[in-house]
Parts: sequence; structure tokens; C-alpha cells
Amino acid sequence: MWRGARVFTRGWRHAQEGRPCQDYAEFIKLTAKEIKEPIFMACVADGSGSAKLSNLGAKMAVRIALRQFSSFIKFSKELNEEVLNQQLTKALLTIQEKQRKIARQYKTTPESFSTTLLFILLTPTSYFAAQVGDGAILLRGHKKEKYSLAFTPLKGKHINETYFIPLKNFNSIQSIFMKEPIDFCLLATDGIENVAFNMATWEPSEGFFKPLEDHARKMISQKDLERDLLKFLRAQKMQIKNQDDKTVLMGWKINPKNRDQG
Amino acid sequence: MSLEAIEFVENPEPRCPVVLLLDTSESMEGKPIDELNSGLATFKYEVEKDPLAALRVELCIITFGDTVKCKQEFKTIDEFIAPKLETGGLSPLGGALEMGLSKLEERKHLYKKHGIPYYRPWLFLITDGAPTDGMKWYEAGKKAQELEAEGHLSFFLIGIEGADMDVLKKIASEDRPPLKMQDMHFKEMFKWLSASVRRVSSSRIAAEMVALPTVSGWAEVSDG
Repeated sequence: MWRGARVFTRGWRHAQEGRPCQDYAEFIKLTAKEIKEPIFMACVADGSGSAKLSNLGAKMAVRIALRQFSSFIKFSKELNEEVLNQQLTKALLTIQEKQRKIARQYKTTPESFSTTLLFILLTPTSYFAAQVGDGAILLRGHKKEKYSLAFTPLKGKHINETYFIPLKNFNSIQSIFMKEPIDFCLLATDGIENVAFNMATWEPSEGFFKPLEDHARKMISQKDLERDLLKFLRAQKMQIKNQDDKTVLMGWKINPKNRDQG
Repeated sequence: MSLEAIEFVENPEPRCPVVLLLDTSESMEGKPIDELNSGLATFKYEVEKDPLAALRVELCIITFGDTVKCKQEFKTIDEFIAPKLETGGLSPLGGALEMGLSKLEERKHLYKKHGIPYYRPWLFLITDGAPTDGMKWYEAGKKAQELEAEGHLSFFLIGIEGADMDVLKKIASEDRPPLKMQDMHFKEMFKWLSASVRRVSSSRIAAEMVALPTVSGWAEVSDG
């Protein structure tokens, strides 16, 4: 059984400029008809700061990706690397098609909706993760203590350069399928990267992530947890360290016998 | 651990290196050098309005007049004290450009060695004349153009009154022609520079894109 929580909040810079938060995040819990296993799916997107409508782009990308995977999973008999990558490609092509379509309506370019994308699908025995651009997909395997990143965030030559959808080429997509059970995952945009990682090695800071997981497992209601997460992300000490929009989405497995275990 | 690493331990923020190549030849005497000095102070003041940018933007100042001199090695803006520049000599612009490129390479090497991520470096040249040290500018200019074309550098050339814009046009990248400063708008130019590096040091762009800040109020694009 899975639980989840997600928050996204506008950074100081966008607040000063009167611009909306360009991050978006959603998660879904579902049970596939054929597979009969509880599945947790989550998606996070970070619209490009230089793209004027990327807040819409981020939301659109998240919703399309989750819709694509959930409609596939509902009736699929088996989840493996090949079929999941096929769904990923379909999702990305649909996002790009939608970007082109909406760009015509707004009389602008598809790049005005540029966004990164982080996606995770967890079953009780395996996971599939995919990433376009930067941000982080953090995982902790079953009964393991260490947190690790599914991928190194894709940056360009310099720290502030990354890759977005619409894609210039398909080399900027990273994906992985592993038959390994996961107890905890956290998806985050680059707004927390310099606080939560050693940026030279991309080593996750246990001092940052462990308290978040511990707190998640303590809380009874999702609403209370999200309120606390928002307070944490909006705190001055976080904003001083990084003025970008910030998103944290967590998913964690709980023992079905103990539903109060966050 | 070597002593050079201490600055990166104390301040592990990603760095946005900016090299200023400043013409301090005799012709800059009077109002131009006064305005330039006051512009440097403005730059510090403006960048420091953003405490994070003050930890990320670091400045190296190279002057060219009597000689080509590194007036100040790279320093983050929180530690930067604007120097008082004095005039003298001619305009060995080519040598200054060579030194600027070499300082940037050394700095990038240091970042890599100590695992410090960095933003695309900025090279900013201001002159009121033309190179007086032979054809050094040709090779150095070509190198800077290549670096810019490959996305490793943002290279800006600013000509103030008296500058040979034809030569500057040959040194500058095709995509970023030299800018001609209007009157003595040094203060406005440094305000623009500080706003631009502040924005760059906190923003994210597509890997294939070149960030081009808009110029207004202090310069016009040279028509050659």
C-alpha cells in the first residue's frame, strides 16, 4: 500500500517578478485490473524560467504523462522495460503535440511551454523512472538505509543549462526499469538541489532527506503533512539558499496492517 | 587540501565568473576613468542587493594601458572592493584579451578540480580606442569567438567615444556585435551588467540556447 504527498511553491524571484510558480506535481495511486498490485505513480515538471507560459506547460506535461500511463496500466497484463518505455515515448510525443496545438491558440511557439519532466512508477516489486532535464528522483530501496538518485540530473555545459520538452533530440531522455522494491521515493525540482545535494558529486544529503521521510511516516493526514512541507519550503533559510520555485513530492510504502503509519 | 580550496569550502555556491577587460589608456583620463571607477562601485552595490548572487558572481579585473595588468584576481562580490583605476599609456587590447582568456581557463580548471559547478563565463571588454599591440587581438579574438560559438563564453565588447568600431567588429562574435556606449553611461552599463549576471546566476535556460540580455538606455548596437 502506498501513501503520498506533494507540494509546490513559488520562489522569491518569481514572487518579486509577479510571475506564477512554474513547477507542477501530481501523484496517483491505483490498482491494475490484471496485475492486481497497488501502484504508485508520480510526475513533477519544472517549466523553463525563460519560457513565458511554462507554468501551463509544466501542468500539461504532468497531466498527460499520468493519464498516458494510468490508462495503459489499468488493462495491462505485465509491466516490463519495453512496454513502459513505449508508454514514455507516447507520453512525450503527446506532450509535444499538445504544446504545438496550444502554441497555435496562444499565437506563440511550442518552446513557450518548455518544461522538464520527472516520472516514477512503483509497484511492490519493481520501479520505472524517467527524466528529461534536471531535478531529482530520489529512491530508497526496501530495508536499505541509503538514498540514491535514479539519474544524475541532465545539465548542459554549465550549471544553469538543461534540457526541456519540446525535445531537440531523444538523447536527453533518461529512463530505467529495475526489479527492485522501493520503500520511499522523492521527486524534486532543481529549487532544492544546492541544499539537498553535494553538487559536485550529486550525493544526496541524508540530513535533508531522512527527516523528511521520518516526518512523512509520522503524520496521519496528507493535508497536515503538506502544510508542514510548504512551511519548510517557504522558510526564509530555504529561500535564501535558493530563490527558485520548489517542489517536493514523496511516495512511501506502508504496512497495510498499520494504516496510520504515514 | 591546498589553500586555494579554502574559498570553495567557505563558499561552495556555483560560480558565475566575469572578467572585465578595462581600457585605462591615457585617453581615458578625466571623466571617462572617473565614470568607470564609479561604475565598478555601482556594480558591487547592485549585485549585493541579491545576497545569493553576491556569493556566486565573481569578478576578475584586467586593465590595459601602460601594461596589461591583472588588477584583481577572481573574487566573489561579497569580498570585492572596487579598485581606483588610473590612466596611462596606450591600448594593448590584444594582450589583455589573451590574459582574460587564460585567466578564465585557469579558473574553470580550478572549479573542476574542486567540484564547483559554474555558469557560462562572461568576458566584458571596454575600450575607447583600438589595439596598439600589433595583431595579438586577431588570434585572441578568434579564440573568443570560437568559445562563444561553442557555448563556453559570453563575450561582450563595448566601445566608448573614440573607439574604433570597425576593429571591434572584427574581434566580436558575429552573433554579438560590439555595442557603442551612449555618452558616458558607465553607471547604466554596470547596472545592466549586474542585473544580467544576477539573472544568469539564478536562472535556468535550455542547453542549446544562448542567454541574450537586452541592452537599453546605455548603448546601441554598432552598425560597423
